[in-house]
Amino acid sequence: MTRKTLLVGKAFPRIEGAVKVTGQCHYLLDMPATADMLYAGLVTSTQPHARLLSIETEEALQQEGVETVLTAHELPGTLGMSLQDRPILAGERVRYVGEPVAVVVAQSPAMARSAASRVRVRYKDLPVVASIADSLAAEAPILHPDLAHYPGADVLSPPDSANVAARFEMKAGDMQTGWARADVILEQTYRSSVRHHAALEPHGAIARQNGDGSIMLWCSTNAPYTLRSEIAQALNIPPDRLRVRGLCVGGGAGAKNHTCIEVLVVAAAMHQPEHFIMLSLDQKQEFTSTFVRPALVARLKMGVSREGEITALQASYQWDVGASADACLETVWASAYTGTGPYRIPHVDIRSAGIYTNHTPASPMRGNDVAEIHWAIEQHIDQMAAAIKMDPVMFRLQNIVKGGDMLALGEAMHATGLDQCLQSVVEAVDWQEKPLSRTTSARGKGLAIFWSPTTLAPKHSVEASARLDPGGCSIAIDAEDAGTGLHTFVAQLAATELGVPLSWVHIDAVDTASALYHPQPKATAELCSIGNAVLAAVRQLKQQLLAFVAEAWQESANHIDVIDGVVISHATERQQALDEVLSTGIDTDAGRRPAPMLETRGQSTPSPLFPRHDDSLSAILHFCAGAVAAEVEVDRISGEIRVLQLAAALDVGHAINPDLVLSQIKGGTMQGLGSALWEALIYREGMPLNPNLHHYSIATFADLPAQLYTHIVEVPQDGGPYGARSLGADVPVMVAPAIANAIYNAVAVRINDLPITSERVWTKLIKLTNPLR
Amino acid sequence: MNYPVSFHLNGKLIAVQVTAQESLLDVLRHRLGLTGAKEACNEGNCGACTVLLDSLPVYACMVLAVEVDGAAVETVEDMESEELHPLQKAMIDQQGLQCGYCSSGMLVTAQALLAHNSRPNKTQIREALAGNLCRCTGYADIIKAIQVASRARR
Ligand code: FES
Ligand code: FES
Repeated sequence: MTRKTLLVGKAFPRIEGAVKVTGQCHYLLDMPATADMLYAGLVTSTQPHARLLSIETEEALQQEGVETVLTAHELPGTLGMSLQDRPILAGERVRYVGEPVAVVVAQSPAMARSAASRVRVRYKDLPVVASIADSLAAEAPILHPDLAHYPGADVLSPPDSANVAARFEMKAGDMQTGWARADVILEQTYRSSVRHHAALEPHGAIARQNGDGSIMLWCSTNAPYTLRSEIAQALNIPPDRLRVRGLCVGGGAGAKNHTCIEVLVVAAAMHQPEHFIMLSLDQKQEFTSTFVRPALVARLKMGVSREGEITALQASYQWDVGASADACLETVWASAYTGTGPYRIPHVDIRSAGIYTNHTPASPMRGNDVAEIHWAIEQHIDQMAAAIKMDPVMFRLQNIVKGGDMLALGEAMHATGLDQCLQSVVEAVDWQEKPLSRTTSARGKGLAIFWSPTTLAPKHSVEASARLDPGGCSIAIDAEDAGTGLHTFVAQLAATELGVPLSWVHIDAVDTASALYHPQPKATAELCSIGNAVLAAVRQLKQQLLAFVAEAWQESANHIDVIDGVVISHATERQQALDEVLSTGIDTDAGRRPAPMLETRGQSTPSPLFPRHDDSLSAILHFCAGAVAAEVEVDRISGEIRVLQLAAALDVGHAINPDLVLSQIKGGTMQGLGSALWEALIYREGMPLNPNLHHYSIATFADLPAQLYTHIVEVPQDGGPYGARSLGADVPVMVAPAIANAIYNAVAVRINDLPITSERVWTKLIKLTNPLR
Repeated sequence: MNYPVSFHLNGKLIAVQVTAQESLLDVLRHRLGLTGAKEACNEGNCGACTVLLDSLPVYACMVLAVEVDGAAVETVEDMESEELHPLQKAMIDQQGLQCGYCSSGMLVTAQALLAHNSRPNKTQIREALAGNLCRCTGYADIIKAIQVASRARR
């Protein structure tokens, strides 16, 4: 029988490791400048909401080295994959600070910057929509009066208020019955902050229109195909005219899945043909002119019986999508469906909405909607458990959704190892052991569980291609690896399937012109579908290879296999190294015969577990599940929080590369810690106050807790490649609610708003000791 | 106006003409074509651009090129000789990187640490690298990599 060297389920260092540690990995800004390169500079709005009275470009145009200045006059039109609600350049009004108003093209970056500062923009300020509450107020200015006529608006439920861009609902059971069966009902509101993806590498792009009219674009994105279709649609050119090339991506965390400034560079290239045009953003532009993570206001009302059964949940999830909703529709939609948390609840009424404000447009970020939803749900669950005097672990175990349970969205849940994840973190932090407290400080433990969906685009299908030649096996997929390990996972799948060492497999940089490969416009970095498409392509490749060998050796293909890079006949024991076969030909009885170059294509059309019945929006493929536990120490006087330990466990179906999966979990945990305690892009009346990495704090080396425990649980996923799940929403790790619950356990104050600053804790502590303050 | 500047770059004496506003990072990346030190915030907030200036780690985006006249500058390009430096190898093996954008800066900062403390403990590593941000890895594996490398060094 065939013996396979299983390279799946084993730890390998990431395949692009060596180029990255030597500084040889080429990110966008590392591309060499050409002699005729021109540089774009952005003029961005300084006002959160204003009418544009005039844009005076004469002075800028007179500057030395300035080639052109483009405004909405030259560049009208709107952007959007599903809903075209984002102007390419602001036209008659600006809707956020940082919104691109004009693009300057000049001969050096310094000239472009200086000319951009000489474009005079005159504004007439309009009332600012500074929050969700502002936006829904009766007298609120309407940010998109023409929303109903925007292309794509027809797929959305009609808004119930003028500033609501999108809304979704999920209902099950009967709320009256649910409330009637409850012994305790609790209502509360939770809020999260606007955050920034803060990938280290800023957005940037280089474009060139060639003599024949074709356009090349290099940019930092994980989804070159999505960018191509968005840009082609916005600029009204056939997608084939635009060729997008993938590069090494210095982190994206969700901010690089849609176009923001890339479209401007392509437009500039069309105005200055046969020149390379380059744009790279400075720190402030990166924070204000790309995307942010949406803030959430969650209102929960939950009922529970004395026996510990959750009887009903009514929830409203309102998202601050900023000035445009397109990139955020999936977040709004998914939150209606994941909004129960991983619990069995018979009576459910959940509404989610995306609400316009004068903030930078929002796009999903690592953890998608999941982090915010669980920030609310998991604190609420702890309070429900306390109300009926049940242990929070027992309460969760009793209500956890299990394989086969009917979900509120009308489908049966698949099996997960959620209970194992919970057990694992409970043990890791010695849950039963009461932490010691002192007079000046108190320690506490808290936990949270979560589920995290992998969402798929409508009519999602994915293609991959495989090629075998003397250089080895090359795989083309539709996504770049922004550090998640996607390329290494894919290489392990391909090498296992083909029977060759891992080093034989290369992943091609994405090139939308590659004839071999035709994915649909909306690309995905999602492992399940990509993995299955790669497996399909490599299986065919192997069949063709075996058929060629069989013919040369005059044997049946059934007897031939490739093991560890050697072609072997099980019937005759004849063998030859595959690299020799490919480079110099196969040995036959009549001498050497050259091997053909083999190329195949594979597809996967996943059947989502939770389809959307109207087929116009995304579907949920499956859920990852996990748990986090935290131990904190709170200073009773100052409210200062120290996180002593964090434990995270995640069920990933099957870990194709356990080391890389653990690395993702660790990274997610620390990002979760940052968003729990510090991360907030602060706006005052629409003005961003801290748009840089100095004032916007992310976790640093100094913040690493003394104990960090991570654990993988594997309950295989039906239909996943080797049982793997796509890491749900980029491995969110729900640290914030676990910390909030731990703080409550320590000092009995509950923090409903993110981030959990010491000041917020202090304010509540003071009230506790002196209710009059 | 251009100023002549000469300094040792990765062991070789070089001379360049620079302007008064140009940063060391600009000169390395744009005039000398060494793109190992990465450009990220350009404001001294992240450490992706770290290089060694007379053996001490500095943010190259915050050093004016005219200041390095007569100094010695080392970049990540100088780390590997025939084969990968033990730090580079450990970073790969211990998963000390994901997107890799912070890696050059992490590596040269770690190299400077090991040069004066061949067996740093966790706290010392955390202190030495506190000025280098990583958005992806969560830091723990970078610390592990540096410890592994410190043991592997001859
Ligand atoms: S690029 Fe120099 S510190 Fe960020
Ligand atoms: S690996 Fe991405 S910033 Fe460190």
